[in-house]
Amino acid sequence: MFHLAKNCPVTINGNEIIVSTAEIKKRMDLQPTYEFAQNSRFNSRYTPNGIEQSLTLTYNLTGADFIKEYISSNGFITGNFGGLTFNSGILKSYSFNAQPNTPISVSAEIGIYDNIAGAFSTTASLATSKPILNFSDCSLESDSGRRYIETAESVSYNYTAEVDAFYEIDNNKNQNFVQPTRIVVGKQNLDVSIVCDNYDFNLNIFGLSGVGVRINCNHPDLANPAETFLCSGYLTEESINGSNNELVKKVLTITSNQPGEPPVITSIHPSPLVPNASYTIGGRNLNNPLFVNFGDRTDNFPRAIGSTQVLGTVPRDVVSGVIELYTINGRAVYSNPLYSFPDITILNFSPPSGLTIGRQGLKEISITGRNFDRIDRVLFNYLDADYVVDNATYIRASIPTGIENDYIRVVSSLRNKSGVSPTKFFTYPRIDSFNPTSGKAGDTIYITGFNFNDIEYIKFGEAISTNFTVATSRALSVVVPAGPSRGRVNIYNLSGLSHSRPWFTPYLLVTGVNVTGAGINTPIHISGVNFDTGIMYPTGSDDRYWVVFGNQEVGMKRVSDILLTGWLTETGNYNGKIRVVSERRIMEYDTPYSFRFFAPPTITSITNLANPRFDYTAIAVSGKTFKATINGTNLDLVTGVMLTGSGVNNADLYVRAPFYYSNTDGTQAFITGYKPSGIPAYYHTVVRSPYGEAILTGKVKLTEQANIGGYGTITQSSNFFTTELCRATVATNGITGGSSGDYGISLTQTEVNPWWQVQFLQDIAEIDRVVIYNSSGPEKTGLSQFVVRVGGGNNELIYMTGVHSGDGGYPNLREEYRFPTTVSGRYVRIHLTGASPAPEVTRWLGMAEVEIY
Amino acid sequence: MLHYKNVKVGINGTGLLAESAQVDVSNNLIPIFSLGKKGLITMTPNGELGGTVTFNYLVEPGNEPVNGICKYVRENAQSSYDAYVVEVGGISGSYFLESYSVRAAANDAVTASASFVTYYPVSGQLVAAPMNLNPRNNSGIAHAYTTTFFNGNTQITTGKIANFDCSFRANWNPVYTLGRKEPTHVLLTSAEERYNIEREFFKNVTISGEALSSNINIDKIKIFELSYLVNNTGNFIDFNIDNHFLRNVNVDAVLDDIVRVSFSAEKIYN
Repeated sequence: MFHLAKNCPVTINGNEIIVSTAEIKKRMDLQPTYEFAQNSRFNSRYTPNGIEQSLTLTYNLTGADFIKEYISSNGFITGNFGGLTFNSGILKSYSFNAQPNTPISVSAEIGIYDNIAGAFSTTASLATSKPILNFSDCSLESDSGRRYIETAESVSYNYTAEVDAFYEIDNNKNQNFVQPTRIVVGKQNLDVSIVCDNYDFNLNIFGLSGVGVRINCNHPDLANPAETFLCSGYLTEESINGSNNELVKKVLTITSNQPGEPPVITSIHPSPLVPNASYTIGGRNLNNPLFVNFGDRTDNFPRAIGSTQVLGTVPRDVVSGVIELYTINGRAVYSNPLYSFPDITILNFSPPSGLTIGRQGLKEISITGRNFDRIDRVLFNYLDADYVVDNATYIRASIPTGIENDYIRVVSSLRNKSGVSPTKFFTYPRIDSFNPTSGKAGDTIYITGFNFNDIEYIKFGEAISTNFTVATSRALSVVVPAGPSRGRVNIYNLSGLSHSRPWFTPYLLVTGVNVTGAGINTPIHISGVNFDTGIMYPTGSDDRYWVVFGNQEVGMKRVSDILLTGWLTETGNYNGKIRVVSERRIMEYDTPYSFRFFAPPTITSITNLANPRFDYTAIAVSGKTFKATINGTNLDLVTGVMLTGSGVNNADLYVRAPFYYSNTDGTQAFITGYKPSGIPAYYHTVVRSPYGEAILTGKVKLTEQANIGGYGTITQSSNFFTTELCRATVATNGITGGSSGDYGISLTQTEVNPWWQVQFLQDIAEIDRVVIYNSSGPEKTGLSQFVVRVGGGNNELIYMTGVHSGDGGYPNLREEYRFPTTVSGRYVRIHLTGASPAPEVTRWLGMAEVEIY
Repeated sequence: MLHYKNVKVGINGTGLLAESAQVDVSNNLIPIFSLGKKGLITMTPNGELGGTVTFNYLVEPGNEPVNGICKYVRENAQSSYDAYVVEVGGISGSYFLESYSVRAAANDAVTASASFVTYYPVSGQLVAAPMNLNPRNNSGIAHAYTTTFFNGNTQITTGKIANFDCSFRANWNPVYTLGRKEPTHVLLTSAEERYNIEREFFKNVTISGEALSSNINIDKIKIFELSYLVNNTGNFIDFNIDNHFLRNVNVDAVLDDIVRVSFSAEKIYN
């Protein structure tokens, strides 16, 4: 009976495969014999020439195809077809022709060289679902990288082998089968034909060697690649075919000249591998090596020692990567080789420093060193530079702009190595600004800028400071040095590169002067800050420096940073501002202090003040008050005025003026007093100050009581006008007539009990009368019902006249009030009041002149 | 449930007055068996995925996308093509025009049928489109009444055609490469166009063939929308008869009918 295919098992090497067709065959090579007269008819007798046996299969791939491995191993295959078994199968052909979206179906023929044993039997095994590799799951890639096939429309893979069986004479071991004593696999041919759209037509007589193609089959349900078909060899045929209504197809045929066992790597020596050093690959089937890939670098000249060793040199610029050994029989991979890469060493670079910006800036430097292989970064201050690696010892790099001092770094990321220059590449520091721009030694100045690295010192003018603190490479603080710090601020780094920026002004401050003025040899102490020798102008001796007093320089000794001392040694024009002369007389430090040279007083003349009756031709009245005005210089410093007798009578007598004072500019001294009785009328006038004395000989003659009304502080209860014409002092200006409309009078507002008074600086003795000149104008009516009052030191009442009885106006222009006796007092007041008991009087008080004797 | 009233049929967004539409998608799987095993190992692809969409529709000269596609393919037979998006009831895909025919018969509305082919998966789900009846479409259909014939610019008014149909077919060649389930591109290998017209005059067929236009004295057919009857102008689609070689003439004489002569001519594009 017939059986179905599903009952006919097929196993190869004990493995089940998805066989779609199978044929096991025996064929006798019959040598017919012919006899004469038989007219070429076949004789029933025959001569056997042996039996050929084979198993032909068509099967689908479900993963790695173990039958394909016999292309290179040439080992024996065992098989079972429906119970018929064999043990000496040799793969004679293996092929498939694949189109996209079709399952991979392989046809293989196995020659059988032993006696097929067993008997046909059936089975009823149940199929197990398995994934079938499909060509839509496959990819095609060039194997060697030397020729790339972009796309393929279809591909065929064909292997054939000539198998020669060696039979010995009289070796009929089996009556039904003559078994060879040895089987030799002879000529093998493996080629791959690819239909693609690459229309290059390159084949020449030399062929194209090193061409390879690999078909990777991947399946989502399998460990991938599930299977790989590889063919490395020569491009042996090209054709381009066109037919109507069809694609124009390019067919490439790659032939592997001697398919054999692919290489296997079992060891690598040394480990780790060293670039540019020898290597030895150990393994199997290593004969006929083509090239060895070390990662992305290739040794194109490997040498085989037998089939177990390949020698060569590791490419100098290798990086980590798998080792791929290509032989004519295939490829072997060593997945995790170890590498030992030499350190990158920078020996030198030139120039060592420079400006990196601007048209004058450096553009390129050269770096010398060792092992500049696979360099992918050159860094300046961690900024990437453009660079060219000329060779493993020489790099030319473009210096990036905006870098700071730093070491140069050469990096090979692929080797995980880097080299650092032995010294830094220096570039210029840059000062953008500093603040404050003025200061004194010891002050902290903050500088901003760029590249404040490796700073050696900072100069202020000619003064050097090493007392600085770099906060960042763009900010630092520095203490102003002592010395000539005026000028540009220069910052210097260790390489000598510098940058300067104007302008630092040293700061010298005078905070005090012990005197506002001084005479000869009076100690003068000028206190302040930063009396720095570098910023003052030396006299050249005794650590003295020039200080200007007024219009004249004086050498002052520098005691410390905060004190200058000295004195005036001669008279001169010292009056005016005190200023300290700066170094090299560049400038003078201003101060808020003025100086007054206390020169000895001088007397140029003596006059009376607004009282022509005081003259030295009149007869002196003993015991009467007098006043005089001394004109001269430095009279404000006078501490005493003396009238010394002169002439033949009393040369040694003198009278000290009981009262004197001077105006503020020292040009006049006013003296009042009284003439003692019994002394001469002629006097020399002597004024004395701590700084000297002056004598005016024979100029003064005390002759008459003096009007002392103008000697003191003159006030009134109010001012009628704000103009000078109505002030209280108008009543002592020496003009005894007039009104508010012409020469002026003292005039108060209309008020209750107005008054006018003079306050002497000290008590005045022997006041005996007051003369009042009324206004000649309409204000004259105000002067009535008044008293003349003399007060003491606290304006307590000393003496007061009776109330002027007149009412409605002052009857006379001049009225004199003579006291019964002389009185001594400090205040003299003209006070309007009512009749006794005095009612209040509301009126103005106006007077043309008041004279006090 | 999707009712026919809610089925949108469109080509690149242009809707059609479709009377019927079919979408067909199929793969090419083969069973894998193994000797010695009962049962199926698996089913595996043995060819490309493909599909077609066909529809019959009333022609609207002012809204007829397929005629334009057909013209483009005819006139650009050497160029590469982009696929058109064809949608039927929410299912859409990238399609290439495979066939197109227009039929005008006396006293009938002009109808057309088109078939598109794809080599890519389709997408989408059946979804209902809103019923937006455009009244304009009702007066925009083409009819035998508005089918006109020209020789040059001269309209032919005598000896006209009783029935005619024009059919176009394009043959596409998808290019697959290893590792891809979908074609890298699709090439037009050839196209052909055939006219079948029915008249009452006989014309012999020569062995070398003759241009149809010289036989029937007609080189252009314009089919207007129905409003042409009123306005004497309007949208139209046209068919040029030039270098279409006469291949067959058939005289059909039956009882109770006039004798009709059918001409068949074709033109090949490559």
